[in-house]
Formats: sequence, structure tokens, C-alpha cells
Amino acid sequence: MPPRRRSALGALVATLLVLILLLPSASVRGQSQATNTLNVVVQVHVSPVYDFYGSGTAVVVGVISASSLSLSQPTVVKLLSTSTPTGVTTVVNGAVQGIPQFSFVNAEGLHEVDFNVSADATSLLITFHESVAGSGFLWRYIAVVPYIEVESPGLGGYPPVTTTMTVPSGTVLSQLYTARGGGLPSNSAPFSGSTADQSTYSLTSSNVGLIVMQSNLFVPASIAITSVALAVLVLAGLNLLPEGQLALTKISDLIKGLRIPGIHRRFRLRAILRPRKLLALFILCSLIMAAGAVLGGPNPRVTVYVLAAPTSMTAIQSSLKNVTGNVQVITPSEDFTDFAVMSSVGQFSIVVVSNYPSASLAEVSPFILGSLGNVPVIVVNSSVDSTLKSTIGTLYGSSVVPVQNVDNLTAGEKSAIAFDLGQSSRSNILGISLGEKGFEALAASEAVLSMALVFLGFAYLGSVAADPESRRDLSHLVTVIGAGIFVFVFSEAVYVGVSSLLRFPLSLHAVSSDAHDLTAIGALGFGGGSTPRLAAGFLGALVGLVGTEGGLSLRKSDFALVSATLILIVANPFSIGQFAFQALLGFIPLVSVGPVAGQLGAAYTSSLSLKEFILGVGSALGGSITPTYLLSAGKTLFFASLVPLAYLKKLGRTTTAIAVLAVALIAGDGGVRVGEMTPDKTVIAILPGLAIGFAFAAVLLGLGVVEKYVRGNWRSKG
Amino acid sequence: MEIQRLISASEPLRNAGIVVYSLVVMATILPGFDLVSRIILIPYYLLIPGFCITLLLRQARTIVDGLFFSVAWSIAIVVSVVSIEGLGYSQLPINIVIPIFTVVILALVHYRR
Repeated sequence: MPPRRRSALGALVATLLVLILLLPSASVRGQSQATNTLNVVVQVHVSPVYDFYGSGTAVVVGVISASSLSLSQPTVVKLLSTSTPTGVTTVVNGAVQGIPQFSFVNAEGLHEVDFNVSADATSLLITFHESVAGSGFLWRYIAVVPYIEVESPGLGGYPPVTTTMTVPSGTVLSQLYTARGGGLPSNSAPFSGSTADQSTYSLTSSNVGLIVMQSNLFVPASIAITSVALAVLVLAGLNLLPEGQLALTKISDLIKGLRIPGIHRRFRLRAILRPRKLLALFILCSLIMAAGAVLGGPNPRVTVYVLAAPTSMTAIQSSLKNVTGNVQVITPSEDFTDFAVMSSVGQFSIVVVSNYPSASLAEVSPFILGSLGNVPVIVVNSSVDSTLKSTIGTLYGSSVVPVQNVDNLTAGEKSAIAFDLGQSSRSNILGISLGEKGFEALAASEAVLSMALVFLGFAYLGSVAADPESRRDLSHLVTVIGAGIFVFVFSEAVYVGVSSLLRFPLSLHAVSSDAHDLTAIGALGFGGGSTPRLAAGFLGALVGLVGTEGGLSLRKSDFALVSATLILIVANPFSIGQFAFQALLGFIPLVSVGPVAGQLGAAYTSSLSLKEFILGVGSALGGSITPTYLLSAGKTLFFASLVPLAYLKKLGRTTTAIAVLAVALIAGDGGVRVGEMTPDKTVIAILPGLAIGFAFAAVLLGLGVVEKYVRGNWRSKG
Repeated sequence: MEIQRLISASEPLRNAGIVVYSLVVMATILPGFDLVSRIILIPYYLLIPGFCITLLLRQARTIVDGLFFSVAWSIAIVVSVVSIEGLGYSQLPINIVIPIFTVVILALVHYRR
């Protein structure tokens, strides 16, 4: 354990001891008042990591206590938290003893620990630890405040949770948000005291869910960097950077002179970066992916989707093991919105419908019931609600296997499931069985190739847009639109085809980043794979636009101008800097799929407006008329990028530099959705996307006109 | 050369036609303006705003080019305005916003000639 972490934990334990010592006095005070109430104290100690991009953890210590109990019957104390409580100790009637407790993840995805308190308990003390992940990003630190709730109907219901947070001295809490991402004023976490090396803030009466911290040196450093960027901006704008340009040219020549070992000296990377060669590589990549999936698939494991109470999961899994051997169980808490896609590519061999809590079933069932027909075996437990049972029976009667108790299957039930499973099983065309490890390696390879596919497709698209041989407006525009539609639709077709061959989705839309066994990309540690796909698309588009022979040429002074502007926006200490930071946070896994689910402050509100604008255009052009042709804002965004892509050659120098980065980002962001594998949504997104693309192009063309005007070319060049 | 001269000569007439057509479209929001069929809005929104943008960007090299870009820009403008109105800016009716936008673009075209 690092010394800092050890000292932090030591301080927390000391605080905890003080709390425990204070309990008797609290009990004396409490005797004259109402009994049977719980006190809950939570202390969060954050050690911020100020890094460009890094991770850190916060240590949480919690104490639940009751000093004067008088129970007529046993009761349950429930501890619910967003993180896993560890190191739980219980003290009953002054003696350390393990009271019966039960841990699981509930239907809302919260970690729940139920403590069964006996009727003879007169005092109670429960302590626990948690470790909460945080992220360092652009030299600020994003700390998540854990959601902790205690519930006990027999002991006052929902006692208030007293939460404090300690941070090292010199830490500034710069931005506060609720767990839903809404912005909060700075006094939502009032300062409550300090020592020589740490400050304490109270979070008791607020609903703070996420805190952005920075060192007190951040603002002066930020002002200094902003000033330098501003100076570069002015000098670049006035074209007064000859020395700087000379240095950049030398670096550029140095890079050009580099040779890759084993590659012939005549080899030039640019020779590959031509539209036709990139197209050939794009299709070649798809063929390799398909060949790998045909030869190595399908997934040898039997995957079962289980709709049951979390308490029954282990029993159901072991019961099914007796039927099919080793099984992988997936539950709604892992993902239910992607059930249609997962089942469409044949991921599930069995669905088990059992005692799933009815409150959660209302949320989950619309995503699942309509797609049960994709699953060959549907095991329905006798405990299932009779209406649901008859609905499933009516819709999917031939696939339904009714069982008395899925936790303990009879021999007849086992053989019925095994028979139906055997009828629908699919084997490798060559009779090859890779085994679980081999299949994992194959899935990881396919995941890497799926990124390469996006990269090559976008590079091809960029090279078509930058093709110097294309002159006329209309022919160039329709060529780029055609290429863009082809790249997206073909990529999605490859994703669907390969996922079906593997019986394992390459990627999914709504999977959290820490899910490793739901998708092929998850095996690489990327969950659903959105962020790496975005990076692949962005880089591919950039390489295609700038790297191809005769492609767009960005002058170094323009690059300096745009870079300085970006630094000016991101690094400055004022509101616009915070706004840009919020927008960038959407790409940090902790925030984008974590407790606040990407809903962060003003930037989120603005992106919501853009999304509403996109969906509004889509609705006007036939989208979302029925759930079949449901609009995807992301897919629409990709098709919207095609029109400005075709206009890049008509913009001014600096506007082109800005537009290249913006369009590559928009295309990359929209291109993430090839992994969503919902072709219906693609079909309905094309026309609205193109219409929005003209609106985007108008903005960029307007910017180009302003630049030409500023540069004095308004009349002479038009 | 002759054709070019003819086109140049007809420009004021074309511009005047677009301005009058825009005024008629704007007038459709007036109460009691039911004498004119609303069908006149269809060709206007299908072509005119986009035609002005096409002129501004000098994209009408051939008839096909001109027709393509006029329709494409027009659809983009109309659905963008409809979508923005849906975001809560419904106080500005589409029959005012788009004709004004069209006339402004036409003025820019005239200025850049």
C-alpha cells in the first residue's frame, strides 16, 4: 500500500475510533429521547490525481449505529450503495459478532447488504469500507461521491446519512453536480473545517454526486497557458511565426526520413493512402473478419439470459450446469436495452423467466418480451405471474419449457431442455472446436479488426472527400455521400454478419465499460467499444483527409492557429473552459457510463439541444413514426457529416483546419453507431442526416466567407 | 455570349419575382388571406430558399446542378427551421422566418454580383 494511502486510511480509522468512543455519550443523550433510531455517518477521503488522464480512488468509511434499541421482533437493516461495501464488521450489545447478513446486487444495480438484527439486540454498530474510482483528466480530478442509503422499516425507516469529505489542503472544489448531472452552486458542499494537511467539506444536506477538483495552482497555471496560447494565436494570425514554422518543417522532415525496419526504402505510406487502395483494404479487412468468424465460430459456451431475483442466480446457474455443462449467465442488471440485438445475433441459447421482481419487470419486459422469439429455449418457472406466463405461452408456445422449480430441475425437465437445445445447436462448418480460451482469443482478434475496419472505412471516406481529381461540386458531393453511405452500411453489415457467425456481439450500444464478457470488444477491456471506435473513426477520417496524396494541405500556421484556439478554449479558467471540460468529460468512461451517465452540466444541456434539433429534423423527415424506424441521433450525425466533408475544399485556409477536426470528430462520433447493429435505424437516419449536413455545411461555409472577408479576399476571389 | 447576356438581363426580373413571391408567402399568415391557395407554399419551400443559396455559392453550373442544390438546400432550411421551432422557439412562424431569410440571401447575391 502506498504511504499516502496508508496514512489516509490510518486517519480514517482514527476518526472511526473517535466515533465509536462517542457512541456511549450519544446513547446517554438518546435515552431521554426516542429509541430505535439509526445514526449513519459516512466519511469520504479523496486523494486527487492531477494528470492528463489517469485514475484514482477515494476511500469511504461508513458507520451505522444504534445505541438504545428495544425490539419486539427481529428486524432487517439494509445498506444500499453504488459501490461494494467491504470489510464489514458488526458489534451487537458491545461484543464483536457476525450477525447474519446477505449481499447481492439489486434490480436497480445497487449493492445491497441486508443485516438481520435479532430481537434481543440493545445496541448495534456496523462499520464498512468502500473504494470509489475517480479520474484525473486534463490536470483536474473527477471524484464520485458514493450514493449510500440505509433502510430499516423497524428502526425508523430511512435515517439521514451524515456525509463529510476530506481532501488534501490546497484542493479547490471547482464544479459540483448532482448524481443526474445537474449543476450545483459551490455552496452545496460547505467548508466545515481544516487541519494542517487536509480540509473537510460537508455533503450531508446536499445531493452532490460528482465533484471536479483542481489544485489551487491550477488557475494561475491556466492563466499563464492561456496567455501563451493567445500570443501564439495572434502571431499565427498575423503570419509572424517564420522561426516556428522552420522548426515544424525540420520536425516534419525528420519524421518523413524515418524508415520502418523491414520495409523497403522506396516504400511510401502515402502510396497506400489512395481511395482505391483504401477501399480494397477496407473490404479485405471485412473478408478477414468474416473468414475468422466462419472458421472459428460459434461461441462454444451456452449463454443464458436469466430474469430472476438476484438471490436465485447462483442456484439457477448451478441447476443449468447440470443440463448443458458450463454456462454463462447474463442478467438485466448487466444489460437489458440491448436484448433485441444480443438475441438477434444468436447470443442466447436459453432464457429463464423466474421470480423477477415485478416492480423491475415493468421496466425490463418491453425490451425483452418482443424478442423472445430469437431464443430457441424459453424456460418458464411455475412461480411466474400467470398473466406473463400465458402471454409467453401464447406468443412463443413451441419454444416454451414450463418447469416447476428452475433451481432444482427434475430429470424430465432437464431432458426436455437438453432436447430443445440440441435441436437448435449450431456447430462449426469444419467441425473445429476452439474451446473457451481459443474463442476468447478469436473474439479479441475480431475486436481489433473491427476497429481497423472503422479506421480503414473512414480513411477511405476522407480520401474520397479530399480527392484532388474530383472537381465539380455536384459530382464530388454525390460521390462523397455515396461513399459515406456505403462505408456505414457495409461496416454495420460486417458487424452484424460477424456477430451472427460468432453468436457473440462484436459490440453493443448500452454496455458499461467494465463489462468484459458481453461483447468481443469487452474482452479488450472496452465494454461496448464506443470510445475506441470513436478514436478509430476520428483518426481514419483525419488520415484520409490530410494524409492522402494530393489531399487537403493544412498550413502549419493554420494548424498553430487552431491548436492555440483549442488550448485557449480548454485550458482557460473561465466559464468557456469549464464548458469545454464538461463536454470532454462525456468521453471519460467514469462519467459517460458511470453514476452520472454523461449528463453533465451546461455542456450536456447544449448537447441535448443539438440532439433535440437532430431528432426534430428526423421527425420532419419520417423518423420515429413507428418504433421500427426509430431515429438514432448518432447515426443521423454520421450522415450529417458527409455534406460538410464534401465542402472542405471550398473553405478558407483556417476554416478548413477547423472543419477538418470538427467533421472528423462528428463523423467519428456518429460512426460509433456501426457497432449498435440496428439496420432499421440506419435506414431512417440517412435522409435526415443529409438534410442536417447541409445545415452544418452552411455554418462552415459562412465561417469560410468570414475568413475570406477578414483576409481581404471578399471581392477578388469570392 | 448571347445567352449569358440574356441571363444577366433577366436577373432583376428574377430577383423581383423572388421578392414578390416571398412577400406573398409572408402574407399567408395574415387573417383573411384565404383567397390564395396554400398550395403555392409547396413550390416556394421546395425550391426558392435553396435556389438563393445555390446562387450565392455559384453552384448552378448546369440545370441539373441548379435543381439538385436548390431542392437540397431548401429541404435543409425548411426542416432546420421546423426543428428549431420544436425546441421552443415557436413564436416565429415559418412563413415569416424563411421568406425573410430568402430575401436576405438574395440581397447578398445581388451585392456579390
